[in-house]
Amino acid sequence: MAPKNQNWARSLTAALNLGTSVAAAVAIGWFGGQWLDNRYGTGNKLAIIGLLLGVAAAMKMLWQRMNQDTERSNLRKESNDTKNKLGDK
Amino acid sequence: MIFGMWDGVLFHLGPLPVDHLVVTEWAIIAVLGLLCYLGSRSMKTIPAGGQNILEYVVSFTYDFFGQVIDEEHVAKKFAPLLSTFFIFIIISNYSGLIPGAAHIEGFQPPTSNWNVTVALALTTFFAVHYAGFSEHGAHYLGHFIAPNPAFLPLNLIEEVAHPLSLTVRLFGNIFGEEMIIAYLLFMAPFVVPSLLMGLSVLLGAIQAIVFTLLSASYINAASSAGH
Repeated sequence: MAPKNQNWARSLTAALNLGTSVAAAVAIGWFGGQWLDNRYGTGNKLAIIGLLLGVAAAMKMLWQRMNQDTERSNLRKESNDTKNKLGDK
Repeated sequence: MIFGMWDGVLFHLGPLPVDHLVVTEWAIIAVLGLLCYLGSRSMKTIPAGGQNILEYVVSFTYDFFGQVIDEEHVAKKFAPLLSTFFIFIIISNYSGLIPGAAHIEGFQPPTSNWNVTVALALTTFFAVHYAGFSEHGAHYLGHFIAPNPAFLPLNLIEEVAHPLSLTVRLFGNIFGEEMIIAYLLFMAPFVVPSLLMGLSVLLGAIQAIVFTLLSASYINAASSAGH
């Protein structure tokens, strides 16, 4: 099914989701690493590795989001160009 | 009360403690069930009254959330779940709009407790992976190592971040909103809380839409051809 009338809701959802997902990824990395440190007595090495992985996961999510938005905007531009060309004829 | 959890247990069902929030959830489920029963007990080809309202709600939620999912058969399969999410969450959010509800145990909105939002997010989590496996079989596991196996830890963190962000967002918004209204009711009992409660009507609906649309988009991502 193609999206029809909920573009505003999609944009709102994407905006609200990005912030919390990025924060959640970083928190999972940090707290997951801390939990492993406590379990295996590794100081804070795994917490730092977890934090870095969380930040990397957050960057990946941002990258994917950016690509999706670029793709969508290109499609919209192509569709507008086609409409304009048909209008000129 | 710690982070939205009431410690008052009403009774036990075997080993399971039942508190006010569980009873509130049962009441919401019972009211929704009763409304559905009353609206659908004598179905007619040309709907009227309760059947009309129910059909409108069902068709609106099916269309609104189903459109997010590209594959029509997947949309049909998951539309009932998504509609149920939306209706349950919006009624739960609005159950806190009774003045002073946050201070009355029986009227606390269930979504202001993170046990409830975790349960909802876990349902989404399992539905997403069910959609992935049912559409792609064992090939679905491949998306955990895409674009290459070095991305496995990042993809795993992302998979857990989705339900965690769903949980925290819904719980945080509704719990925070309830607390603000409760304190404003205590400090300025008349005009100020009613203004904020007006805003809560909007926020409650937005949170229900956001939770359901995100669940739909995660299901779509898991079931789409890209995996």
